[in-house]
Amino acid sequence: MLSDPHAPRPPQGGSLHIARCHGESVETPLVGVLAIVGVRQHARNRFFLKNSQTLYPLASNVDTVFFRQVQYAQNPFLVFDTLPSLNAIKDEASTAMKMYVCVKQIPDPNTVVSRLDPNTKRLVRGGVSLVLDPGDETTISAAIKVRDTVGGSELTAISMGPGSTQEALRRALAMGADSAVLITDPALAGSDALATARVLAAAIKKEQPDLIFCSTESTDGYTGMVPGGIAEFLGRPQLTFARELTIEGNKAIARRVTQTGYQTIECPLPAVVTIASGSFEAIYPTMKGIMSAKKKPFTQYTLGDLGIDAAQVGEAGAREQVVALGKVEARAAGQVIKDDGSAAQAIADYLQRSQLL
Amino acid sequence: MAKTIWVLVELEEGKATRSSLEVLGKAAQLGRAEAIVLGAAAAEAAPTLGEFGAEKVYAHADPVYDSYLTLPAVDTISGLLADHQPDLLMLATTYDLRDIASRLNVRNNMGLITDATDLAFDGDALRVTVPWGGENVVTATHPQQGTGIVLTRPKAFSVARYEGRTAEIETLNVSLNAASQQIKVLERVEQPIEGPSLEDASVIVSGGRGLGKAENYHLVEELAAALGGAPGATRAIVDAGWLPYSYQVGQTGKTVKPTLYIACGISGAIQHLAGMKGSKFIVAINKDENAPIFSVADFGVVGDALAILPQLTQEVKKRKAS
Repeated sequence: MLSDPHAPRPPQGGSLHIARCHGESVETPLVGVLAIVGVRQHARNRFFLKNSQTLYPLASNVDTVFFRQVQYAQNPFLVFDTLPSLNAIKDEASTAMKMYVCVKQIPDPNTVVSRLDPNTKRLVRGGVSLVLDPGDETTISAAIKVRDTVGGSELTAISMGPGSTQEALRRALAMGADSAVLITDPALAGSDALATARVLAAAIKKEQPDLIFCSTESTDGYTGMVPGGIAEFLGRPQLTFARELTIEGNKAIARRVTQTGYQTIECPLPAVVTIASGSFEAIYPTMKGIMSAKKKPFTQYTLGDLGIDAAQVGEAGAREQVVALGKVEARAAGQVIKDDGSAAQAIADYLQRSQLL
Repeated sequence: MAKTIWVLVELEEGKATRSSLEVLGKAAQLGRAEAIVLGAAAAEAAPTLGEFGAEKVYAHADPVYDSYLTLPAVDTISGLLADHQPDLLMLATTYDLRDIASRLNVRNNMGLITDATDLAFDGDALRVTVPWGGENVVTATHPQQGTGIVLTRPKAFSVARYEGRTAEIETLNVSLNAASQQIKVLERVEQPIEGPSLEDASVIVSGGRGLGKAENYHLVEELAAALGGAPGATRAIVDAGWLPYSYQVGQTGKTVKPTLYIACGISGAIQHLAGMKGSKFIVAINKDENAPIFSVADFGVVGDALAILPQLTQEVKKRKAS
């Protein structure tokens, strides 16, 4: 752990000394270090600041240290990126960003056949296994990767839902988000896309983040109308269906999936970005991540905390209404055979009989 | 009184897209259909919309709508909504129209129903049919006064012809807000896939997790090519990164209605079935005889897709040649 980030600092000059777990060490000259702004703890490196012959212990289990440098006029960060190459020192022009990722807890799409309650006409959530939406796992992974490209940035996972939603947020924290926010209130049950966007935007607004990540759509509701709604409430642009994302200074540039290919689009920050499913490799929580998730900041809000009137949300505020539930006409199952080595012929015969070949 | 229904018509290469014309045809069946068309080619496209059902067209020919996504269109339509009160705004479910709808909903406090497969007015009350999950169908409405939005599922309606109808054209004279020119299109890249697109193919061969690994997907592509069809995929293998999102068939990807759909190594998750069970003939190959895909298949084979696919491709080629 960092002993005291501000106390042990050499005056002008000195060097940064990094000892890695395998015993090797590297020294990098420093000019005019003012203050340590943050560390990211993943790897088993130990950091020291060195002045003359004195080593000031800084931190262990660290892969990146962020310094604010006096030598430069405003406030650029020096990022010591020790993995994979220890001597890479990047002078990052961009400043640290605040990022949010919106997530949802849903009935496990792999094990639960979702049902609607004939009385409330709402999704049955009781007595079924609930998980973090699998699409959100991709989105959180994308957000973590983008956060890590902009030194010193922080990522907050946010969700609206019943108390059980804590578990989905804990998983986001275990994957690598830095903090979590849950908005929970009995009046929120039955909220539509407009109300959900209103509530999430009100909570997000408190921190004025630079980037807000969402999945293109949830795996249970499929409306895909919440991200654009959040962007509208925040008065910010949205980059949607992103399968790649780069932050360049104060702009976000995305490769956007289209019906026939892709577009490259850019917009100024702050912005809402939606991630197309499967576009980013998933990050899985490690045991260490799961343990550290328990200690990360977790904020809970009610509607009152956000200054939202209960009449604007939940069933009371819904601008759509289900008037009837019915059953779909089942498609009759046909013939099923077991492959005995001649299935290819059998299928070809079937195609010919049906005049498809 | 006849209902007034607005349809935002999307343009592609200067022409109204088929998905927009499908929606326009349905709107004309429900009442008085009025189209909104925005973009550099709006003036040329507007007069063509009458014979697809529009009685009036609001057109604004400005290339800003093509260079900057979402926000200029939301501004213009919100301006129109302030002056007129149509009963309904209908849009096809496409990438760009979904973005526009999500913001219109919030800006004008409208209310929005997605994934509709049918609509009707029962007196003054709108009745929207939305298939939900595998078994249910929901009837939904906009209970409040004012204009509501309905996004319709692709291929829910067919293009209708209204021979001899000419639309009154109102050329919009709005000045576009520079502050809304934020989401800039830097580049458009078409990635032509060989053979027909998923939306247009009469034969689709799709693969799922049962293929084992991404390297085996070529077996699906080879059978699709032999049948002159298009290859598709489940959400599971798109999520796993085997293929881009554009291959995805299902409720979240593309809804398809080919003549023949061959599902290979696909168990049949509800969201996948929702996207393909409108196919005329369904053939399924899966190792698990209890897989839900067999409940919708006309012809099912319990077996290993990896073994059967190469043989079937050969067999199809042989029979086609003879």
